[in-house]
Amino acid sequence: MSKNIKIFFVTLIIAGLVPLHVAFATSTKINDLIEKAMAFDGQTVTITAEAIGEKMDRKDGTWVNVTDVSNAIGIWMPTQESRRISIFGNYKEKGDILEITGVFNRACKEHGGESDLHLISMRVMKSGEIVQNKISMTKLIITIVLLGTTLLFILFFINQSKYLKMKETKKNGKANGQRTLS
Amino acid sequence: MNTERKANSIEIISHYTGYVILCISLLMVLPLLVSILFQEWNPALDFLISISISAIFGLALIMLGWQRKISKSDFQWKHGFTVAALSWVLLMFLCAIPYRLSGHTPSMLDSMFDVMSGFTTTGVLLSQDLDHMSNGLNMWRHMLTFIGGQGMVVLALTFLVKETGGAYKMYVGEGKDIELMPNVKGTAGQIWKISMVYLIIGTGALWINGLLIGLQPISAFFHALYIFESSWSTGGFAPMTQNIMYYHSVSYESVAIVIFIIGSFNFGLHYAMWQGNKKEIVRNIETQSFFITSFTACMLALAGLAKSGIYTDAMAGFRRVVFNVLSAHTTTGFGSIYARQYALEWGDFGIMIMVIVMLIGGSACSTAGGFKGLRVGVVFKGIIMEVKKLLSSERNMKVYKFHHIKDYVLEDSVVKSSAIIILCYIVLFSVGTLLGTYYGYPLSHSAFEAASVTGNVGLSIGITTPSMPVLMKIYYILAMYLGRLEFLSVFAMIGYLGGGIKKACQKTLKSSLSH
Repeated sequence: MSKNIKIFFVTLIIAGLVPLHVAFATSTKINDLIEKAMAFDGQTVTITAEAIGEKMDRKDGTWVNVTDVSNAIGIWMPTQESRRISIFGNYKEKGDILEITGVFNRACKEHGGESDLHLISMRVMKSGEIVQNKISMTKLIITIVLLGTTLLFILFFINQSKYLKMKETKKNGKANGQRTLS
Repeated sequence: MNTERKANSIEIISHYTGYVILCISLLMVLPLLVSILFQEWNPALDFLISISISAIFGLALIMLGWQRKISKSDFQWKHGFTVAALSWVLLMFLCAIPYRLSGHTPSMLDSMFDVMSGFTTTGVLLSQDLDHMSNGLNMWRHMLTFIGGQGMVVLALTFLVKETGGAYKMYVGEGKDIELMPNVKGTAGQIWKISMVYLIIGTGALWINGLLIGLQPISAFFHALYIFESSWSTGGFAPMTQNIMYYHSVSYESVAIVIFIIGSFNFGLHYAMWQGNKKEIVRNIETQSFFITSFTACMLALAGLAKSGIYTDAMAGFRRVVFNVLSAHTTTGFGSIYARQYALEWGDFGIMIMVIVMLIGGSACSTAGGFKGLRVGVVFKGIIMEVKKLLSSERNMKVYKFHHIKDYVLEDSVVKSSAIIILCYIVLFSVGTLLGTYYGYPLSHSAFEAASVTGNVGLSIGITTPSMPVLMKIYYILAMYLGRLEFLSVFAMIGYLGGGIKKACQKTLKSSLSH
């Protein structure tokens, strides 16, 4: 009986401790890392995010920036690992979706106090793809109509400008003529 | 006998406002070309639509005021101020069209917010998902902040307005009063010349740096151009969500620091240095004021944050504290930490330091915002002068001077006008803080954000988001606008419009009574 009680209490204690780590093992939002930076500092966390921009190779590693919509963060990883990422998100492409496990640093001593993640492992969950930015027909029609109107307006403006210039020249001519006569 | 009528004020204002609008609208051709270059067809259409609407509007305004061209009517101060203030408002609408059409902003108000933030070189933003923004729109965002920094009216004066009769009045209306050349067109040209030389040098330096930190050549060039435009204009926009943190580089940050400090200096000081007057940088009251306040603020912030254990080593101190304090003081707004870290980690002491430096700002007649170092220096010297006067004998008639490009006598009127403008900024800041607290934000957070928009800084503590109350968005737009134009132009426009409405009402009342 006492053995069972002991097992029960040990299980309870472990159960009390484990959720913290389990929580970290499940995907955390980047914004939560920033909001609870003190609590997450130095902890191993997992995030799911899209690779964006481009990788930046440095002497002893590579920087890869990722975003999960809530926020964006820099991941410091071995250059070899970064080569597994094929597409980085931009206007025309959706970047690879990565599951990243790493150590979160609130103010990284190695990187001048930056809030970053040092990679432990990375899994490409979904390859990136080209975003289909189809030309909007409505926009196209509006553009054609507006360009036509602008052209007409410019022609009218030039015409009026010429007319005013002519009027001004005539007026100046008259004034000069009057001056000469007087 | 000459029977030709003189142009009325509306026609005069309309004529010149049309010129400014036409000039700035034509600049949309550049982002349009970038869109075509990168084969971004929808953004290209967005810019074509915006160019068309703006061109029609600008031409219509010019034509409405054609009487001005015919009769060469008098151009008064009120016209100059109103043209400057009105151009900014109308351009805020027109330049927001590509933003709205792109879908990166949830509403037209948010689009206008971002445009005003760009024009005023503030840098706070409501645009979403910057990481997937088109190259064309990114070019436009950064161009807006670059043009806004030098002055849109200044640009229009350089290229479009032939006659210089009213040019000086419009130039002053945009918050600039330095005279580098005998005529204002020459001065405007000189301002652009200085900026363009720095653009080439700064973009080159950042490009090389970008290549060294691992960016690809083409993207390194565009990043360099954008970061230069933002740094030089003390704007604070960046092409990616992480702002300057995207680059993870101390060298990139250091180059940016150099550019934004130089950008926050008075154009008069730049010109004096170019003319070989190297001592001016040491003697000028503005640079003296800037170095004293920035050094003190950096030291205090470093001490405060080291005490609380937020940043313990020197490199972190430089990159996270000194960088942000200087960015705030020069009213740039680049952030090397997340917005929420100010709120969660810096504490009230750190926030207060930031609020103070954001309000002080950079130099007068520069791209920076805030009270301006010149006014702070003048008021400070004014206080010393008053104390000395009190302590010395009444017979002692000493003349007090200050140096700003040349020596000036420190007169009561100068101190008074500087103090009035500072007071206006404080009122604007206080109302902004009050509004923030009304909507439930903590006092220190409200003060931080209000100081940021009033001083045209652009750092955020997390209040500025698309979900913030509409009234706060409108107030922040107004604060950025007033702060940038230094109140007078906007007051003149309001007074002028108020007077016009009053006259119209009186006229209507009279006619209805007579009937």
